[in-house]
Parts: sequence; C-alpha cells; structure tokens
Amino acid sequence: MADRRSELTRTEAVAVWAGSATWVAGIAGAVARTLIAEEAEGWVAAAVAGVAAVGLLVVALVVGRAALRREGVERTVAVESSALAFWATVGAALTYSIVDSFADVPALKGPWVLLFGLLAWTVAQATRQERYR
Amino acid sequence: MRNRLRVLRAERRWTQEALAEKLGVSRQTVNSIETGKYDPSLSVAFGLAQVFGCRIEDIFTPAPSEVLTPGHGGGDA
Repeated sequence: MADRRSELTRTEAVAVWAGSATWVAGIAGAVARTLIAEEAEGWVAAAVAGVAAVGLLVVALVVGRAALRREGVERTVAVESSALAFWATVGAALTYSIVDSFADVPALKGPWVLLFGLLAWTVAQATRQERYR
Repeated sequence: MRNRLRVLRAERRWTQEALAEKLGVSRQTVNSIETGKYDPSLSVAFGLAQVFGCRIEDIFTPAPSEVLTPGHGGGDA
C-alpha cells in the first residue's frame, strides 16, 4: 500500500493540473507564435516563456512539497539523489565553462545541461535506491 | 544503529507490509530499517514505539561505534 501522506490533497491536485495546463498553454503559444510569425518579438517570446516557466514552477513546488511530506526511504532517496544530481550538473557546467573560456570547444548549450541533469538524476536515483535496498 | 524490529514484528506475526501500513510508510522502508541500512526519522521511530507499545530505546540501540563519550561531542551532559 502506498504511503497516504505522499498523496496530493485536492487543492494540490488542482494546482498541479492548473500548472501543467499553464505550461502546455505557454509552449503551445510559443509554437503558434512561431508558426504565425517567423521571428517573434522579444517581449512576446519572454512573456510566453514566463507563462510556461510559472506553470512548471507551480507543478515542481507542489509535487516537491508532497514528496517531502512523505516519510521513509523514498524521501531520503529523492532528497539525496536530487542533491547529488544538482551538484554534479553545476560542477560539470562550471568545469565546461572554464574549459570553454580558453579552449576551442563547442559552446555550452542549455539542452546539454538539461540532458546531463536528467541523466545525473537517473543515475543518482538508481545508486541511492540500491544503497538502501 | 541496531534494532529489534524483525523480532518484535515476528512476535506479533505481522508481515512487513502490515507494519508498513500501520506506520504509513512503504514496505521497502520497513525492510531497510530491519536490515539496518536505513535509520528512520524521529517521526517513524515514535510511530514504531507506538505500534509496538514500547519505548524507542527498546527498539533501537546504538552500535558501539555510535555511542558518544563525554567530552567527545556528548553534548552538555
């Protein structure tokens, strides 16, 4: 049986749905704007990105709060793997940026950092889970 | 940290799943505590004491290496 304390309350569930819808609306807005006009004006792009980011932030905050309310090994694994992945990603990005400043390497791109972060989190999650198994 | 969780649970013929349900945690959490791989939070420790009807010290005892000696971080004793 799942831990009841980890479940979302009604208000939190509504907030997650609203946040997800806002994020989807923001992304859809960006796609639509790109299709309509080849190059969006700066403030439009920023506004659309802001809307999508706020939606995602709401989801992350609500889900994160629910996860931290949970007791047990899962909470510890989540906290430890998130911390490990965060510092691994920050460390890797910082190192690459330093190398980039004096060596001729491809410029660091956002999606690379995102991908590395997701990969680091997956590995950290698996290793920490194994530690407590 | 050492614990008598497996013994206490066996005495009552509870499965890990049943104990987990009483505590509001996952079965994996109960298993990890029993095997000594995971030290529970105070909240879970108090929950265990409550369901077994004993004190936390009756369930958990520090390993010899974990016992604080006065003058070595033993607090204000």
